[in-house]
Amino acid sequence: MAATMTKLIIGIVLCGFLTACANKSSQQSLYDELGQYEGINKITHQLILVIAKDERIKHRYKGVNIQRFKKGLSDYICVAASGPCEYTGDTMKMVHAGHNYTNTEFNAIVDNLILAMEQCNIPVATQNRLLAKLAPTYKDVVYQ
Amino acid sequence: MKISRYCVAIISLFSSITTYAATLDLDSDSSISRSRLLATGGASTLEGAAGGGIVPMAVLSGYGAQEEQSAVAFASYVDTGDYQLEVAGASVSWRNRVEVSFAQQKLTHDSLTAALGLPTDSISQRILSAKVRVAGDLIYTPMPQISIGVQHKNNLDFLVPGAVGAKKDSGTDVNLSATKLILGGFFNRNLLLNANLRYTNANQTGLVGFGGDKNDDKELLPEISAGVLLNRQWLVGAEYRQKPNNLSFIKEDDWQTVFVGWFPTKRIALVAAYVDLGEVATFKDQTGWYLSLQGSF
Repeated sequence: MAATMTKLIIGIVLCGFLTACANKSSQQSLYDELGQYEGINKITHQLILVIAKDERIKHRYKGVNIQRFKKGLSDYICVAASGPCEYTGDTMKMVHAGHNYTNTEFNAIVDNLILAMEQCNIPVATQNRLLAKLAPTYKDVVYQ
Repeated sequence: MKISRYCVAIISLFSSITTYAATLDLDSDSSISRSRLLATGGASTLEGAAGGGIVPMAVLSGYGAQEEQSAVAFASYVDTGDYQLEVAGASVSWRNRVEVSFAQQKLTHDSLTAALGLPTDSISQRILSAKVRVAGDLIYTPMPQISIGVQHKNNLDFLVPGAVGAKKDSGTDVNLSATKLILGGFFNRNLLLNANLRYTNANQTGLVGFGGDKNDDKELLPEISAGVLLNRQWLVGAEYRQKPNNLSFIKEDDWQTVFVGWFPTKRIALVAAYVDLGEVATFKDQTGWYLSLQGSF
């Protein structure tokens, strides 16, 4: 039993590293999984509705042109998902500089994005693939 | 009379917890009052610190982000046939930076008492721990989250541990943990990897005292755990914890678990595990069940 469990743990860890590498080639593109631009736009729309009810962050959107924000975010996600889009906005660093967005606010947005994707019936695997693409923006967004 | 007083105490404890939870909810009218993602606060280990069941992690208890506070209370139970372990405890985390936790353990050893004709049938231990996140973030930084923790343990029933050769009735463990959640890392499921290095001389976590006739020095022992989040709410995984072997009279084996964790909301976590504790104080093949319930505030 003891040896079996040790092997199981090592197996999980090894498989994790192997699949992390193998994943890249053999699956449907993330852009297609998200339902292409229309699907992404639905998620963004839902996200804005969730944010509007979130006391932690909604004040950050006062005076923001929501249509512009929505298009910018959809384009950004589309590009992150390797879709055929062009993101014409500023870099994440530029957009967030000077606002001192907090770790709490970043977590709140991620929480809300997951909720929005759940509401749009995006499968867990697809959610995770998108989150993995977006998570590295943390360093350009928080405490800048 | 005694039972009714006990009930009143429990009811008042629960009402104060709910009242406290209600006041915490005031600062956010959403059902989510703490901002870190579901399951990222982990469960409560047997020793009180946030982690799995037997291996601590670098994560801090509860769901408080870096501008928030959080707290958890937990109760755990292990039964391996010859031994039962009851644990209750709580912890508070400040700004996802510092965690302070408390655990009270009671080990019941009826089989050992019968076999050796001992005058007592249980050993209790009290553990006060602190953990500091020193670097990284579980999810958002390329490096893993790294924490350093200390656990000060007081064995409250040293008669039996002393009789089998343990040197001290108290001790302090130092833990260095690194934990990483790799988004989509396992067949597009989120993969949790954790390693802990413990500097300790505790026998059976300290329930059988500290140090012994065979070895009295603290040593560095590795502990690892890994899990996969099947979705946001379900985590399955396994843990391995190397143990010291300080007493010539009773052999101590490494511990292992396979577990399922359920995080239905940020309020509740339930963990069930199959545990293999090997030989524990003369009784071989101590395998059995572990159950832990955690409430977050």
